[in-house]
Amino acid sequence: MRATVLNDKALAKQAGRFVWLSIDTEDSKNAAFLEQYPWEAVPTFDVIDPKIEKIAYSWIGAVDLAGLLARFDEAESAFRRTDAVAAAAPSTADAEVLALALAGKNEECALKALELLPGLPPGSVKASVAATGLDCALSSPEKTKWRGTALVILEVTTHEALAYDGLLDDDRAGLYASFVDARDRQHDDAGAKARAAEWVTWLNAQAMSAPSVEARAALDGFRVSAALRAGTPELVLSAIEASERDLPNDYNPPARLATVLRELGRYDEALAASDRALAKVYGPRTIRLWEDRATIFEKKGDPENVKSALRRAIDFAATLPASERTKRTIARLEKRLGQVGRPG
Amino acid sequence: MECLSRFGAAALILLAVGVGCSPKPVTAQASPAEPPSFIENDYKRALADARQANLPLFVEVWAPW
Repeated sequence: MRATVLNDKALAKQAGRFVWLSIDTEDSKNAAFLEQYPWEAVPTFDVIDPKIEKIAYSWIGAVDLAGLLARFDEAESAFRRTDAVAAAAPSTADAEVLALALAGKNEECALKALELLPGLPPGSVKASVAATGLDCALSSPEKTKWRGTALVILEVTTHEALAYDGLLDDDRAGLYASFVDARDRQHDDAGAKARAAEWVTWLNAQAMSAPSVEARAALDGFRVSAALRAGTPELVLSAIEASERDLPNDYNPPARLATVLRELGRYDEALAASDRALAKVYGPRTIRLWEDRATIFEKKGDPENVKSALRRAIDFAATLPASERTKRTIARLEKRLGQVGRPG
Repeated sequence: MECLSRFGAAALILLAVGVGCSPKPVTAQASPAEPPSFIENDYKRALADARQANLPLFVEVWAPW
């Protein structure tokens, strides 16, 4: 959304409606803000009343330009209200279904999606409702009576949504992800692999037509996921290499390149890419990069360096503020460290 | 923590968003044809600006991965 919506010149007329703040959750200087305004997932958008430092309006997840403009209006209305006891949320169908999903109310979420879909016109909101409802249905117990029929309807609607006009590229990439995920979670390995191959084809076409380096690189995370699931990491190598050339200060391209090269069995090149990523990374993501490095050594058959990389991850995690999340992360890393060298 | 696309709960896919915003505050817009400029990682400054301008503060909470 940063590369495709928030930089849209059509937002120029909106500039005077708010003061605009960007908070990087990985940057330690934002710790006090993030403690004051806890977050569940990124991106989160909050509209804060500066006089009382309370959130007047909030939502999670990217939206397209039309959706964003509508939410600006709702946010201003919420800001002007003086009787609100809690932060307001968007009134759209997709926000309603997503809120149920994030609350873990999977059955309510899936059934609400089924209820809302017939009344929605083709477009990004309908696509979002279908994909979120599909995820909720997949997350519901397999024995649940309504689940089978719901999955069929929601999966078909999600597939149809791929053809909707006007979707953002990251919306469409997210739909492909949902579509692959649906096959995987219904134990259809061949179906998931075939859909992942379609996803890679679409992503490669997007790489050729993206309006900017940033818009292309914004889908690199999807690119790696799709290629790994399809079993064709070689098909995304050049796009990730291009991102590293074009965005030399960003740790993400070399980190992703390390994963792709690892899957190609090019371990020394993967380690070199890992070195480049680790030289640039900051914040909690550092842990993930050390873990990824451990996986490269694991595939290379070098248990001593697996241990060394995991110890670096643990040492870094110990420098982060103590929290349940940090404790869980360290426990997970120590468990993996304890298993190094043991038969599978 | 999760990074959500528009189809957030469905995808739960890590997105690449490692693109910085302009450091200029919105109160110093260079051109009316440009999209809003975000104050980066400075809540105190943004709060003071918002109070002074009597405007709500719009916050994008993101991750670079």
